[in-house]
Amino acid sequence: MSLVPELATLVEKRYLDPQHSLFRFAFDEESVRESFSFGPGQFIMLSIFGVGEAPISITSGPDEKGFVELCVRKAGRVTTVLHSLEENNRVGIRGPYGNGYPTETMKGGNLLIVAGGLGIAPLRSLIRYVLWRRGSFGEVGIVYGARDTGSLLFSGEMQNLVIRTDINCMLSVENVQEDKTWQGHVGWVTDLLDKISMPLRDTSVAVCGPPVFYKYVLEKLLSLGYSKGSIYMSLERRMECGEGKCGHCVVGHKYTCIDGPIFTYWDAINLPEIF
Amino acid sequence: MLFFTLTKKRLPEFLDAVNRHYRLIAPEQKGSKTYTFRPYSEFSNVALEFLRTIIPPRQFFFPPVERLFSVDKECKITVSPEDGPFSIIFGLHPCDLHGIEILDRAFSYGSRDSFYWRRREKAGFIGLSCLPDKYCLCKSMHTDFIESVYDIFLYTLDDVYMVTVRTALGDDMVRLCPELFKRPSKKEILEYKERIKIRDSMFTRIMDTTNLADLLTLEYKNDLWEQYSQRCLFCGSCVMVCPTCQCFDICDSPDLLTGTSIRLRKWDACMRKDYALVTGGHNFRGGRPERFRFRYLHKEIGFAEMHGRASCTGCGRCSETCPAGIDMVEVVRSIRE
Repeated sequence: MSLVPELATLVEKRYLDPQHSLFRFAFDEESVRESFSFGPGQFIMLSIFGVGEAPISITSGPDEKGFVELCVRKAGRVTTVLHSLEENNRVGIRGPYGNGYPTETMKGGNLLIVAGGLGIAPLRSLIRYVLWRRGSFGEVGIVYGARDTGSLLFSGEMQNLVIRTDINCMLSVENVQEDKTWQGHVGWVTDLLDKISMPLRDTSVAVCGPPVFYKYVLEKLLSLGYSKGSIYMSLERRMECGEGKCGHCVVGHKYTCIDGPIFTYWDAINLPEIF
Repeated sequence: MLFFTLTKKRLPEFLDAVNRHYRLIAPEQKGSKTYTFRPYSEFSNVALEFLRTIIPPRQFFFPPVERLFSVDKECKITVSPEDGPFSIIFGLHPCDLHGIEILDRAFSYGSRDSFYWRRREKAGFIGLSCLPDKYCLCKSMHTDFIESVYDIFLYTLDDVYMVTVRTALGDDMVRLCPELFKRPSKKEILEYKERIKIRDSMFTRIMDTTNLADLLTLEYKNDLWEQYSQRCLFCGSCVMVCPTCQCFDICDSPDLLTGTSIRLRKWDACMRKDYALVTGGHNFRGGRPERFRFRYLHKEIGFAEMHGRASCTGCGRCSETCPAGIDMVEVVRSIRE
């Protein structure tokens, strides 16, 4: 039934930094656990009963079955209560919603993933999708930037990608305070886009980050010569239903929850009120 | 499609019969100039000469506040039970029937909304013809006649109603008292045709909708939006009375004593300031002109791009209700000029 969530239990809560944690939920109902499937870039509506609902992008990979992982910042009403939950607490989940990344279009070509801050949350799902079928992609580049080393999410996983030879992964932080062990770049993500050598042709670019991050990254990608039609952005909007009805996420004449949240830059610039 | 005539004097017998078999809802006068839909009590309470109820018929399928489900202490979800039996709504004018047709599309976009459709599928409609007043814009919006949605339509002539039966449900209703329905005579058919011409000539206000979508796009940054938004109180009245506004909020209402909660869906308005506000404080449409403009753009272009028709039915409720006297015809005319 539309708008009615399935029950899920918090089976693991992984502390990432003071503001972010990774929550792993398993659906209570076995049939739901087995049938729930999604693509990278899709999101779910998370219910904390008595508090409300919030749209959250899925952070785990689509090939990992039996659970979903959500990387969530403690930011609003629902997410603040979420952070206070303990293992075995129950929530509601409905979805998955949204179009997700066009993986069928991306496969066979090269892929450049550009993440800023919490923008890694949906992109981690895409990264896992790629790792699962590395042979289906050409060259794969990943650049990920955070404010400082402490707020670089999934740093262990990301460091493992840096040392892989079949993936060109580069990390950057804007400032290093006491952390003398940092071996990545200090500066902006856009600097990494200059350094990373990815072909322009047959390359899809998946970008996710805060609004100001988009502004600079998109400028840089265009100046490098990427096509607006091959740059994929994930848009954030207020959502109540996730099902193309409530109206809150309408941008121009599109529902972010159905037509998006993934839009090509070309489609996005033709929507008014995009940022 | 079947055509009959029904003598006006015998309409009470027909409605009484319908009310015995279904749950009949009919318009009644509420204040000196206001009307509302109420459960049918007796024929003398039914308003026949009215144009628009304050709250449009969407209230029956998409109520202002609706309980979706309740959740107990163990997080067991209980979906709200379905409403009562099959309802027949009497007295819907063509604009409101178009409004229902538009909402049917909206609540089927992408997927069917279970809560809307479980009510909608248990409703039938008896349409009723009307004569326009100064707010009626249905002719401009091409909603002055309806060819779908209704089960029976009554077109008012001098002594009889010309009755169109469109569906099997309409036929079921007619067969509750078949003796009331006669074959239309040649004279009645002539009168019907004459009435349509007369009604057509009665529209005093015409809104030119030619190329309206293009114009609104071209004039996206026109100062007029700013000027109108200074006049607009952002009270949301136009949204509440609109037969096709579909926006809603979903929220929880907890009971702290028992640890249970209910999830509600409530009407919302796109002109509210925090409508597009997200966690973290970014507001994607916070400005007054943007919020004012959005409603027009969505009605005339956005909905049309998704569903192939504009979502304004020309019922005139928003123009009649606006406390700031903002009138859609005036807005469109000034954008055009």
